[in-house]
Amino acid sequence: MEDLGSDSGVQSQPDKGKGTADDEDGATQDYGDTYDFDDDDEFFGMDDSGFEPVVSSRDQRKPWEVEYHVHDAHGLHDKQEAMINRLVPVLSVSKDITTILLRNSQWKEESLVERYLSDPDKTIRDAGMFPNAPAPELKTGNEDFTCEICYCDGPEEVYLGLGCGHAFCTDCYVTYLTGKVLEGMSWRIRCPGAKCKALVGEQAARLLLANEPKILERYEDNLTRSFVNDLDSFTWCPAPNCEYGIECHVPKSAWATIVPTVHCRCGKAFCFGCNMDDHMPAPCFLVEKWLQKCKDDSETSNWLKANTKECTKCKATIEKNGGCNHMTCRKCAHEFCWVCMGPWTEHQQAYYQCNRYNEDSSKNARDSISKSRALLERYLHYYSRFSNHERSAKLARRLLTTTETNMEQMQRNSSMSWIEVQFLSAAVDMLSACRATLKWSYVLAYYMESDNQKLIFENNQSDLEMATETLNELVENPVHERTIEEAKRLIIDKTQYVKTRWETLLRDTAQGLQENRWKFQD
Amino acid sequence: MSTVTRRLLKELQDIQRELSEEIVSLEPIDEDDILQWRAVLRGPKDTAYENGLFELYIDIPEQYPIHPPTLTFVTPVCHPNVHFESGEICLDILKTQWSPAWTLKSTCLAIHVLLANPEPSSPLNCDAANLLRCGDSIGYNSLVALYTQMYSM
Ligand SMILES: [Zn+2]
Ligand SMILES: [Zn+2]
Ligand SMILES: [Zn+2]
Ligand SMILES: [Zn+2]
Ligand SMILES: [Zn+2]
Ligand SMILES: [Zn+2]
Repeated sequence: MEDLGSDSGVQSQPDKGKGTADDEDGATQDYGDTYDFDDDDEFFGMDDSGFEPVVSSRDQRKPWEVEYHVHDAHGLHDKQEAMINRLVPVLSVSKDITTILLRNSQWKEESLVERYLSDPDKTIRDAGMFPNAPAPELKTGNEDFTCEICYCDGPEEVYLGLGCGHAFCTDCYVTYLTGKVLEGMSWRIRCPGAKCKALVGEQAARLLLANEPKILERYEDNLTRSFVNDLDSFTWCPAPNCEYGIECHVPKSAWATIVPTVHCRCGKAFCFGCNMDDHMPAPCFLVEKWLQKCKDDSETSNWLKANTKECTKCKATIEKNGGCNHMTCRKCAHEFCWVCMGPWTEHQQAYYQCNRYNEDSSKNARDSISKSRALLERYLHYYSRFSNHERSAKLARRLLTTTETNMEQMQRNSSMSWIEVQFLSAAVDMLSACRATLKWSYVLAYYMESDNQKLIFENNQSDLEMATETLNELVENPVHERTIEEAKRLIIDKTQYVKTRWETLLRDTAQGLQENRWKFQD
Repeated sequence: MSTVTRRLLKELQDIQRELSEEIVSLEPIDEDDILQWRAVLRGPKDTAYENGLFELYIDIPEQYPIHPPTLTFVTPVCHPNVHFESGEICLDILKTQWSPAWTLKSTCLAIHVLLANPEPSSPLNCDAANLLRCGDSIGYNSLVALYTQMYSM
């Protein structure tokens, strides 16, 4: 069956939906305890509409992935139609009235049916329609007709009247509708009669605009726009000029323990909950808190955003121009870590401390310096890592171009056979994904209370960070004392390894949030 | 003949046939320009505006009646929803609630009703609105009566 312009949302970035079954422990999360995807079965799962059931692929999903669909304008239109058509026999009123009732109740089918059954006539009148009113039609040949807008009259005039009794000539109606449609209105357009609450239904609007295809098209667009805006389970892709709508049924109540990341068909990965760029593994409420904090502390963050630092050994000024944190001072050749300023040699060992804020030393610090100073330092520790990954992610993109050029150069000079450089862009995609995850992982860590569970999280974070830095360095300087084939094999291996670490961190945090494994502080 | 002209001529005919007692006069300022009108309202009975005469200037857009006309008081009026200097009027039917079925006459009648029934929640004249909002109707009425006497009698 054709999918009517919908993508299934079971894909993981950057492994774009190849469906690899490398889910180590095969752990698929049971969402059943927290909320029920099938809640809306009545609306979306039943199948007399010609849709494939949305709930289908729970078993293929990774623990951090949520179910969603991407719809184009056509798909959104069909979605509306399906919902309306399903309700017409339930209410047994005209499709025109059913449509208005659904729109008027923000598509909340259940409460609408309840209200309708208790008092059908009132429900219809409250929505601006008229029970038992005949279907709207263009009339003519009425001696008594006078248009209250232009005062034209006589039997030759063509006019349309609504259930409220107000009638206007088609010319006036079309002019009136055109103005409203261009203002962005659709189903909320009311009868032109003074203080009249009656709605010009979709059937009447389509009848009147039949000879105005451009306006009719805008009208239909406006209808779809209000459909997506009115439904909690739909949102627009926030990418500029992107016209896709995303459908996701993870309820708002679950956003504290699930990050509803969705991938639009245009390539944009964003959070269905808050419309920000993908912020896994931190849940929306911590993201919001963090960004507010960063805004409040803008002075300190400005200071940190500065792109220069001094060499810890000779004090020469060093500018960071690659994503890699392994810095080598041009003047004295001292190797150190950009983030913690510690010697790089220590970072290569398992005893890696760069990601971990030393809570002990902060406790001791309270004796000598004020507590607020310690709090600031704690914040700065996490903030500097957060912003560093953000910056590195941007630099990684630029890096791809230069590295590709370098490799092509090498090939030409060494008269080697052509090696496709696809693996490089795969590595950079992986790097970007890891940078984003690492960035937000520091926000999660900032709010986590220190305990053994946090230590386990930090181990995963540290593993991913180390692997990411190694891959970044490799991509920046791939053919350093290596043949191209060696470099390629190394990068592919390392990319695969990084992916494993990345998935481990995401799996662990997704499960941990579900299990309330961590305590969060202010 | 354009829609706006045809409609306004019809309105004029209707007005010449019958004009309600709240409106003293309602007609185009100049015979050659059907898009600019002048109206004179009688101050509502049993209010501080009583016995006053209030002149309005009516500017009609080409898209009338799809778009509303602009009405401004020429006579200075002390009223919470009327700007004292510019004469601008804050009334929903002149903005968002406009319907093409309103006429110049029914619009003038709506303004007449507004004179007697101010809406202090959307004020253009804060002094008048504040008096009303603190429940000082004696103060409000004497202020209005003073201005009515000064400018509109
Ligand atoms: Zn007409
Ligand atoms: Zn009506
Ligand atoms: Zn998009
Ligand atoms: Zn979010
Ligand atoms: Zn140095
Ligand atoms: Zn470090």
